[in-house]
Amino acid sequence: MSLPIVVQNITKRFGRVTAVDRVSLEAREGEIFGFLGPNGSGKSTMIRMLCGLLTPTEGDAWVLGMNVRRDSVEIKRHIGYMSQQFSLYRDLTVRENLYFFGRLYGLSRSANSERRKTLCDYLGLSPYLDQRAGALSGGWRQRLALAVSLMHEPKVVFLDEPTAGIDPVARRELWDLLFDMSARGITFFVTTHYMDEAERCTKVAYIHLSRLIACGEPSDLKSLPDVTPEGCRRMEIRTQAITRLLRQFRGHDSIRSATIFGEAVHLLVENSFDDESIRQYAAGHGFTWIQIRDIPPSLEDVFISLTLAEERRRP
Amino acid sequence: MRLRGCLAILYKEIIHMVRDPATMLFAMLPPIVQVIAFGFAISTDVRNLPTIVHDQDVRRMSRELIDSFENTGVFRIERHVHSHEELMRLLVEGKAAVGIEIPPDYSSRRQKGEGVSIGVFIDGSNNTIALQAMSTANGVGFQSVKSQEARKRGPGAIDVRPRVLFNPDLLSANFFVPGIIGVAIQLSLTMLVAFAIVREREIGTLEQLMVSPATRLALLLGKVAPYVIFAFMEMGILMVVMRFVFGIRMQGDPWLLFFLSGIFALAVIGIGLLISALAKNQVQATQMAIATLLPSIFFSGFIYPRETMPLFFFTLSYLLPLTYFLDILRGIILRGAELGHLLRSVVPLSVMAAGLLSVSILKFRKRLD
Repeated sequence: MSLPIVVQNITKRFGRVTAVDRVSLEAREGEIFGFLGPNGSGKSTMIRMLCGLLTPTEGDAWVLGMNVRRDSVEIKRHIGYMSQQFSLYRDLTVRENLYFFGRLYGLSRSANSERRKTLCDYLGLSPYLDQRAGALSGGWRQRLALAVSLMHEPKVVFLDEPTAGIDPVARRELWDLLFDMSARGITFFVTTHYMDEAERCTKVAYIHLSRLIACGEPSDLKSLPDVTPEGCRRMEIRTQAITRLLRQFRGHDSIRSATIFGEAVHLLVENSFDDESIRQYAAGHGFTWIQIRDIPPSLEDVFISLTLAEERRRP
Repeated sequence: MRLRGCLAILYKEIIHMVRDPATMLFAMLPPIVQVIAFGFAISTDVRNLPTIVHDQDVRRMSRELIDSFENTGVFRIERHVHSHEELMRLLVEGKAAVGIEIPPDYSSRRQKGEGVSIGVFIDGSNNTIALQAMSTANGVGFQSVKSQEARKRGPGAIDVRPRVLFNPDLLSANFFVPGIIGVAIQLSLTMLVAFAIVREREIGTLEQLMVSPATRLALLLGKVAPYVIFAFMEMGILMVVMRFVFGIRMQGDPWLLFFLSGIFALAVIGIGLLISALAKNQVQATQMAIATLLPSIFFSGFIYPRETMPLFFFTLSYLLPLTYFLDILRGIILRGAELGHLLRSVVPLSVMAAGLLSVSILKFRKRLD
């Protein structure tokens, strides 16, 4: 079978504004594809094109082997979609919401109730069946929205910031569910702001100012040359007064970047500036003790370095 | 077309209605209140105008003349004054709306068969009142001369007897009430339809519907069907109010009226859909609904006759569905007109309904791009 999502050089313009600029990517079956980028970078536009809500201006895309321009009606039968805001009917009960969307996708009465039972048992929604959707808490609303998007057993599910605004426990649980379902062959295309969520994706893509600047497995992205330039290394330093240390180190020629992470400072340092010189430099400025440790780049480091590299390259 | 999507939407819309009876009630009630309030309040029937008399003759014939003024019901004799100056002063002060002045030689000239003029001074600050007072006063003069002529010459004189058909008492309620029914239906239906869709766009459910395989036509059909039913219910209630509150009997075929109301409802739903395609939120939708309603009220001939309008507004009135529906309403209710008689309104109304609906469906389809 062909790949569930294939995007080739897709562009979407609204008047003179280019929302998505020549993006290409692919997702494999059972993958959780994380689509990241700042607000307004074109994430939602991308999802809407793949769902057949928007027609691409240029380029092409295929979902489950079907073309987004020609077969948008057929695509809609086989995909699930969960939008950014909670977009279900608050005055309808959980049961009625599920029934309504099931019917909308053409499920028969019996198929509808069978599917509802399976999903509610699986997602733990059964005790809430007769509650109004508006009365559910954030986490349960998201589960209901997920259940609605899964009623017609889609092969590909698009989730637009599914965890925005819900508590960390509900967030963790939702991701556990996504992993479980992806193991059963459902492909998820997920946009998010959270880096820890991005770390859990099997593949991530980062979009910045409408352009894709990175796409691949998290571990591959971390070893990209732009992330840790040749002759440099990443390290973490702990000391008693990190903000003063940060100010001091940012002024040093051999230090490419310095950022605070909690109790520590993360540095991108040229290899010529070795651990011993760092200690001496620090001691020379009155830091009585410091701890140095080599660290791998985080995905955040990856996206920051790639964004900076991209901005240097653009005119 | 997949009907299933349509039925699913219908199912959901009905739940919305049942869960939120207040909205339906508030959509249903104001038109009824409007009809009752307007039917009583907007009245161009002039009655009991405070009238003063300066009778310089004071004989039997002049008293007869004053009685015949009072007998029309339009004039209510408040007091007699004794000078022209006093009469004018009371009119200026607004104590009276009409002043009647009878010359000293009134009886003698009448007896001789000579012409005589009577002064009738009318406060013209309200032109509707003034016009009616004037025509009634003319009628009084005409009648008293005619009865005298008839006595003198016997039969053979020209006898003009105007008879008003269809609204024999010339009651303004008979004219206004059928019109208000049209206005009320347009108001409630435009708002309901526009809101139903704008609300879904605001809470984001419209997008969720768009990613489903149901076609746009099925979606719209399912959303609009309950409001067509609503329009018929409203129509039925208003007919009952018309019959039992205002005592207006339906002269024509009620089923024909219901059928043609359906066409009007479709045209209005088209306007509502068009608003929902343009409005970004419910506030905008309300403003647009009112903006479309105002010209309908003023230029459709609901209050002011279209025939007296300047050419521009007269032409504009041809573009309003309400203009045609008013003709249909008044035709069927007051004159007992049949379909064949109403084609000049039914045909343009149907064309407008079809046009508005197709444009709004096309507009709706393009929305996300």
